[in-house]
Amino acid sequence: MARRRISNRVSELISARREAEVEERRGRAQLEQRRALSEAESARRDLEEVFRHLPVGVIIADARTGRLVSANAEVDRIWRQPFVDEGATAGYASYRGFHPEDRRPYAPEEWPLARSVATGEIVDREVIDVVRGDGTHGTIEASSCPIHDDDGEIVAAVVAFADVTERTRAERALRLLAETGELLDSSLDVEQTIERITQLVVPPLADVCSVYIVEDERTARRIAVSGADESFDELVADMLRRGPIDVTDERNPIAEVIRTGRSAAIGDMGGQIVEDIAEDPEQAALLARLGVNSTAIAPLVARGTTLGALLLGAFGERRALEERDLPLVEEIARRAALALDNARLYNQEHRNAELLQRSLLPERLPPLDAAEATARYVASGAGEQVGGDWYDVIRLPDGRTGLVIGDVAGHGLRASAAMGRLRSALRAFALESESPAVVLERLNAFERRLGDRDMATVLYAVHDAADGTLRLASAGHPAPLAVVPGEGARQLGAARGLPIGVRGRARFEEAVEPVAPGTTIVLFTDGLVERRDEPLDVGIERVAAAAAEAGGGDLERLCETLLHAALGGARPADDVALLVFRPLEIDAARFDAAVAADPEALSSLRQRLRLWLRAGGAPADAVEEIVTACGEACANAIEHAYGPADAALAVHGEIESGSLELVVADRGAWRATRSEDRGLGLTIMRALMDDVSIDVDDDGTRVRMQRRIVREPAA
Amino acid sequence: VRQLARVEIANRGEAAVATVTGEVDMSNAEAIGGRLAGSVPNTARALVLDLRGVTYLDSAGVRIVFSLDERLSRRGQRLVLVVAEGANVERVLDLTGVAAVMPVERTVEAALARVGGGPA
Repeated sequence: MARRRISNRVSELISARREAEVEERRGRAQLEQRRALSEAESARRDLEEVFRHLPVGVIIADARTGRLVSANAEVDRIWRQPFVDEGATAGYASYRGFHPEDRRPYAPEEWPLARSVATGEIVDREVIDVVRGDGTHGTIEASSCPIHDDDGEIVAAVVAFADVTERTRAERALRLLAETGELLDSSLDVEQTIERITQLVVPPLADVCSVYIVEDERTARRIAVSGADESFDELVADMLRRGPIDVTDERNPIAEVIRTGRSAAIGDMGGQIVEDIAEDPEQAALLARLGVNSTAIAPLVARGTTLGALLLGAFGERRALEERDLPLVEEIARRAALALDNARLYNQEHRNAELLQRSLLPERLPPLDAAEATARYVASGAGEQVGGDWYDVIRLPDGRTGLVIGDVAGHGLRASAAMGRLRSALRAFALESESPAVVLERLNAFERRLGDRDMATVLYAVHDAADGTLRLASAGHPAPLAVVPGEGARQLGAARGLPIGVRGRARFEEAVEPVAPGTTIVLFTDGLVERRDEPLDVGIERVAAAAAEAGGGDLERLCETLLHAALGGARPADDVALLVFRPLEIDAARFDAAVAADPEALSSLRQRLRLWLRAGGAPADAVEEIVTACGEACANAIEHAYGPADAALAVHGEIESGSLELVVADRGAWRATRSEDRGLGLTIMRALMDDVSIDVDDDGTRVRMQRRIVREPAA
Repeated sequence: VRQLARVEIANRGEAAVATVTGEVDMSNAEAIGGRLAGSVPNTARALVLDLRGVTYLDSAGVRIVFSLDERLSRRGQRLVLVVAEGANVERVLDLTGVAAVMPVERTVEAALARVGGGPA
């Protein structure tokens, strides 16, 4: 009994234990489940928290209904308007977006999210200009994708987007500046350049852009107007139709920017803007109808001068132009100003140069066989008027050379025309007569009978290499200087006759001066020696002293030295013409030249080499080839000259039994491998000479070139 | 103003014709190159570069011809050279390979015919 009781007790205990175990298991399972649920719940909450606090805006759309079902807080922050689950497409309609390229509004079905829902499209970083709930403008970058269920059906879609307003603005500004910068490098003329600038600015920055340039103290003219699209055609046409604006008009904001040189942004404060900027009621009505919301105006300033103004206008939905846009607008205006300024400078220089080149000055001096010559013309600093100064070098038969320097009274077109006429006539008479006095007499008679009787001073001299003399005659012109190295400078005696054009019959005296090879003749017009506050002699003395000191060096250098001594780097009060001439000493067997390592010195060096090669019996085609090879060697020496101490190069040549050896020496290091360009030079040298070798040591570089100049008869 | 070389520009139909006379070396090559590059309107199909009046041309000049060609071809424009037969300039252009990569004609008319530009 007891055992049974015990056994019952045991089984009770066991079953109780079992029940307890089951109970416990059940409880544990429940606990597990509860924990899992709570974990899931917390994960969901975490996810939601993450979703809510994601630094990008996220919106989820239900594919079945098309409704926007969920959005995080960033959505509202970016859009500055509350997200409303309005169902169907109404959700999209509460957002305002525009295509950046053409500012066309986004239709509800065009939004990335709508496209992902409808077609499964994956949209990668689409840039959308937006107008936010508070009316401000910005730009977002949106990416979206569809969400599929296990069967591959689209059940939802999600879009994520970030506010990229500042970045986009900076990028667009940079792009705009880069494009305007490229325009300045292009070869468009100035009007085209300005027009292209206005076209670049709209539509990225504004709807209408116009450029004004100042014509005189009172008026500024519109030279280009562009509109963002055809809706602005009427306004563009209206602006182009109007005459220049009055720069003195106190009420005109464009005039004010031109007057003050300070840019301005004019926003729409209570509809006031139309009144502020419209030129008349008719234009005001047009501006109001188009919905102008702001303008920005910047001055076109180049080198401290205001040349005009750049006007931008924003209309309708576009973000209003404001103070912070002004730096960009100013920068674009600065580029437009640069284009204008370049064109002005170019035109001015061009006009001067054209006049000079066309009728007055030789394009370049003719190559001389036994002499070298170079010339300068410096226009006066006074205005754009070209003076009547000229120089000329005439190759005459039998090794003679005619040298001309002259100065027509007066300035401008009439003086230019007279100069051209006298220059041509003198050249013709120079070929007819060997006597400078006779040439001047004929020139005078010509001007009296056939010309406009303009007055001019002229000096004409003929150098004869055969007997080493200079014959000269002067029609009222200052006498030239002769500079003998080691002996100083002296004025050559030529009695000043009357200027050309003064009297019907004029007689001129002729002087004959010995001019040994190596002597430099300096011919000039009085602009070089004349200063208002001192006698002419003082100026001549100054130039003579500078010439004596410069002695027998490079003629280009001599010209610079004389101009600097006379003018001190300033623009002269009157035009200056300067002609220097030097008969060469030629030793047919040897050539020696030491010149500054200066590109400007190469031309006369080549000329001297030509003369020497000809004298040494080299045929014409060989002369040019040797000169080219030597030019390359010299160019290399100049390119690798380091500083003033190195800045000289020496050319030595010898001809012996029909063979030429030419050595170009400098004190720098040869740079054969510096660039392929130098390789080009070496290629030329090697091809044109029989042998080229390059020696480099501590003293510098020597390029040694050899060539037979007298071809042996074929065997 | 010292003039080693001179550049004249003319528009002939759809091509620009630039005539260079004088000497081209390292002292003026860059300026001439700039002037030439700036002489071609964006609307032109080609630049005809007449070098028959050039009495001296070295590697500096060759460089501007190369860079001009490069610059023009980037803009879809062609460069045609006009060079006198047997001139030193022709020799230099041959030696440096310019003549091998660029069309060279004997007259401006032939060059214009090549680029299909009409008469003035």
